[in-house]
Amino acid sequence: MNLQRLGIVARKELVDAFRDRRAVGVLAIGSLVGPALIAFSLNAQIRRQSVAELRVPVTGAQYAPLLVDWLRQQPDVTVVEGPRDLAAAQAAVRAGDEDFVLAIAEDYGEDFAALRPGRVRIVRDSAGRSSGASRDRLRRLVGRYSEEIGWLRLVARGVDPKIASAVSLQDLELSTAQQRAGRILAMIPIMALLAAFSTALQIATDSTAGERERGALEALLLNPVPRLELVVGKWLAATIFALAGMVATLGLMAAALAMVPFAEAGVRFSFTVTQGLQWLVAMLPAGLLAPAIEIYLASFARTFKEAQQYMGFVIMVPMLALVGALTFPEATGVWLAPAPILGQFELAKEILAGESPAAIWYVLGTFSTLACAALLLGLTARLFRSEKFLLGR
Amino acid sequence: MIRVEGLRKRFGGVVAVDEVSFEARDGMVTGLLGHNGAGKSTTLRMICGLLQPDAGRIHVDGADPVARPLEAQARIGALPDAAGLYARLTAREHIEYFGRLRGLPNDQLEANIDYWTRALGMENIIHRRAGGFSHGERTKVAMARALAHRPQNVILDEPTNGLDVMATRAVREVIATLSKEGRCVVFSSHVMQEVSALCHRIVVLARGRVVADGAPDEVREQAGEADLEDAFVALTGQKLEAV
Repeated sequence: MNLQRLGIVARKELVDAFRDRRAVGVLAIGSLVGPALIAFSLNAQIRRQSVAELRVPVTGAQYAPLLVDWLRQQPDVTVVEGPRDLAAAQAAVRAGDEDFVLAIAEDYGEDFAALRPGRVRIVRDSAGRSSGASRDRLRRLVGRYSEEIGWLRLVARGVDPKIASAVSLQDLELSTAQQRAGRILAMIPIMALLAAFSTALQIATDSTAGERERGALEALLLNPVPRLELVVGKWLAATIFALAGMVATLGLMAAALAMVPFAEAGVRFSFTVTQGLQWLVAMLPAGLLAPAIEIYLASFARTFKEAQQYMGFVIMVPMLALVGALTFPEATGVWLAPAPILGQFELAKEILAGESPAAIWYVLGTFSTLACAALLLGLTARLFRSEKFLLGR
Repeated sequence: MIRVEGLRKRFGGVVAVDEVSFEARDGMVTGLLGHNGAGKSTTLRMICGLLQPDAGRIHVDGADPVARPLEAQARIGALPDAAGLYARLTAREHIEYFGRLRGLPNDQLEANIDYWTRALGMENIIHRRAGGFSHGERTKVAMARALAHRPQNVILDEPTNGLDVMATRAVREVIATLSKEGRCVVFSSHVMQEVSALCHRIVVLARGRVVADGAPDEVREQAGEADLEDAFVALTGQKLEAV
């Protein structure tokens, strides 16, 4: 293979692609969407996890000093003075000035003294932008207060408070914030793989099906250049785009991760530069294979549009495999490393989880993926030599 | 020199080229004349090593495009029927690309680019991107690109098809110059006027077969008609398309 000629073909395709707004746009969007999405969902997940301060505006606090004091003593609860009466509280909630108001009835003290349930209302507007989670937390707190007082009353009468509870219901939450965050982090390798496919797509289809449609390919085939060199040159150009897309995605992802407040949510996560490099080494072979798959399939298409339809499937297939690997994590392991695409995903996942896969897995993964790419390029070159390809039938 | 002997090619059940033989000598313009579908493009594509003949032999200055297509392609510069350009590359970049692929050294490439820019009157478009080119401008660029290496054997498939008067004249001048330089030029056309004006030798194709072969006068004689156009109708049993 004549390296100089490979360079000539690749250079032409790169110049062509860089002048193509669509290709450059795809490169930019392809490498930006993933990191943005991950950063956004991680942030949202972590905000949900972190225990926010519960602010309770109380109307009529003077009628239930015990309850209000008890609330004040609860961790992360701030009691503030609410609107002056129930009507004002309703107006405030309706107007959206407050999400909700805890309104204590004027006769609460009387009822309490007479051992009747004291009336307490949570003024809310479900149609408005009220925060259901905070309201539920307040409801549980008031319920617990009610229970504690009830127990004290039973104890005072020599009754075991346990008889008042027939069932003891407890939530056993198994997932930790760490695990939930881990699931999102596992999306990062998928995003990087997606970037490899999406950024190479335009150049892979335009330099094959597009040129064929415009009649530029027959003129190219009249040059005394082995077909494999033409194919590999085109692949080189697409691969440069794919690798640029992957490196940009991973780099931006690392930057996005640096901005997520992991510690705040009690999630232990650190990502070192070494891990980042390991990551690149593990995933880059996919950046060599993705354009080869695309170029091969696009070479079957007679028109650019037809090729784009094929590309929809090209992206679907690895994504489905990856979603499968995510859904059944127990079925995967580092032994998957030699499988193209899946292997890159698996290695990246292991590194993210803080493991250090043995070098042999990297070698096997790289070798098998490159072998696949070489096979596809060879098949494409054979297609380039066939009469059907030239005649468009 | 290009020599074709007993060339046959079928696509499925259709025989596109049937026992075609002719010789195109250096310093001469050989015209392949025939209707669309007569087998002109298929014949030229086989000479260029793009299609494999089912039978027959081809020689391009001693190279065999069937056995060693790249060797033959190195000796040929060919303009295909529908030669698409790269819309985002300039005219100059087109010539450069093909010239480099053919391994031209830089100084020679520069000289050839200058030559074709002048010969085809492309001074005003040489640095412009091909996206907005007219049909005539596109044909000129495609021709310069195909002949970037100034080959000994030149194959042009319907080069003047759809061109305006000025562009047609430029292409005809190039063809005449090429043959004066001692090169072997084969071009196909369905325009009688053009073939009779330019060609030293005419090969008339009809339904994949050679129905006449010789100098314009000989073709007229073979058909028994004084006018070349009448000769063509007599030979092929078909009227020529309106120009």
